[in-house]
Amino acid sequence: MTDLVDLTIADAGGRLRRGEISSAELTEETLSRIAATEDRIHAYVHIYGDEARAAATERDRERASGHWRGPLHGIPVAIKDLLATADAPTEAGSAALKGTRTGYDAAVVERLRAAGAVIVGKTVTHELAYGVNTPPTRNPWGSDHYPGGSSAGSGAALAARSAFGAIGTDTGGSIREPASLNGVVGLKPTFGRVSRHGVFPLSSSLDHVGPMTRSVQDCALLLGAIAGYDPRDGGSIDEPVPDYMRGIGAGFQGLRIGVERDYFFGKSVTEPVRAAVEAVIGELAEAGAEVIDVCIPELPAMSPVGLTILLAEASAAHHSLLTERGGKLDQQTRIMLELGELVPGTHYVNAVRARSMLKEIARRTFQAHGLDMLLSPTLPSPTVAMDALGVPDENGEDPLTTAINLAFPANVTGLPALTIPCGFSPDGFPIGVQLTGRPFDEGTLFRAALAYERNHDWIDRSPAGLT
Amino acid sequence: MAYLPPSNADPIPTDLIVSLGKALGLSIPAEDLEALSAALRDQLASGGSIELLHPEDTSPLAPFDPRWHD
Repeated sequence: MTDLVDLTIADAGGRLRRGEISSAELTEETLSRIAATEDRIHAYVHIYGDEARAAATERDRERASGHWRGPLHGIPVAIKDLLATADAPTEAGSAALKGTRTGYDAAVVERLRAAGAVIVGKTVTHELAYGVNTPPTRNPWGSDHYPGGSSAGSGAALAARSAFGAIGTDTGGSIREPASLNGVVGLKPTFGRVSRHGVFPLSSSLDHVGPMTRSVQDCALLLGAIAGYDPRDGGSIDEPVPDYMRGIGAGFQGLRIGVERDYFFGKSVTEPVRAAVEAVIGELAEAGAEVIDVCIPELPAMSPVGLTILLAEASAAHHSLLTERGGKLDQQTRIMLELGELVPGTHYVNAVRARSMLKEIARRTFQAHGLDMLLSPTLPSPTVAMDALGVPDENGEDPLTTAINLAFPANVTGLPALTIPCGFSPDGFPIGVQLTGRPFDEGTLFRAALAYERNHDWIDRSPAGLT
Repeated sequence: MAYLPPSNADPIPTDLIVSLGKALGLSIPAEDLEALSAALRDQLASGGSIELLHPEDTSPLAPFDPRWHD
């Protein structure tokens, strides 16, 4: 018999709606799973116990009276501790922000509560989402292994079955890296698709908020609940939100999928990742998609452009934090903020100009080949043991610090990018494949991803020995 | 420093970093100086790969919209 915590959002939502289970039961099971796993996984920084139980009871009462809020009604979810919540501290993973209370909900939290979701906790993030310090979170697939970041807790909670869905943020891969390393689905939506109001900023032109889930369908459901224009976010774009479930089952037929090999399959990509992603490409071609080799020689500029923008914008956003509470920051984070102060203005302006060129190059590539998406490895390597983190490989590179090279193109261009599980390494750690789409065309990414997911049992596998 | 590809450029003298920091209102802890010096060298060197794209060809240099959005 399936444990309740193993259900997807779609399955649990159906059972809730039919009255076969209650939100109170789902929430209690989730809180029990949190209690059983947190001493090893450390996914959460704040757990909503009684608040979650009360919200679940209210959702059950609503359902009994005929008020159904939609597919997230009564579903336990987790929020990255970078998003403001009125009823709990928001510390952004930093001792310098210990005990900070915003007194209001981030836009995404407002939308989740309005959609009926039950928030069970706030998840661990790297400090300020910068991704350079080492939080206590561990990977459920190997509790001495790295969970990725900066949305480390959100990825680990999903793999540990201690949340049905989670919210992450992504400035240079911070949704997609932990999703891939923990064997779950993660979407960095198009820039402007999801409001960042109430989200602790890192880099205002690169920051994105997005859904993380265990299945593609759940990811579509969660995006549908949180997407939409919000004038409180200066980067929000007033583009209609489609019904992401419409056409999601249409399959691969007719899709045109670009594969760029020089950059995305470079020497840092490890053999297990290369083999798993090549298998996906072969499968798509066999199933009716058209796979097209493309060449984008400007891709190596993506990371220098993204990093220059990130450094300058983060330091501009956090100048006061650095000057007033710099001593409480982790040294690695502080050095990044100091570094950003020293980036010349000309470098920043040139990076912004180069970014608009890169965006245009991406547009031309999609147009010239009639592409629906680009396909690439999400990361160069599966996870590594904590004590191997930062240790160079035979190329002199740390595969996980070069991960930003595969992630940054979607942040720099603002294009939507989805990672889904596509296999396991010989030693049993998850591998992800990344689909990068046209602006605001998340629906086509979901369609391709679901067609692939249905042919495999990756999402049915769960880490052993958690309880 | 994580993320930054190492370069072969000359190191940035730490006393220069201290002076720049002071001028910017920062008091940079001594323990940060060595790593910051290397990171600044690598970051400044990365500007070269951006210039390869010829960003000077883009116009406008910095977009500006004078409309009022009430």
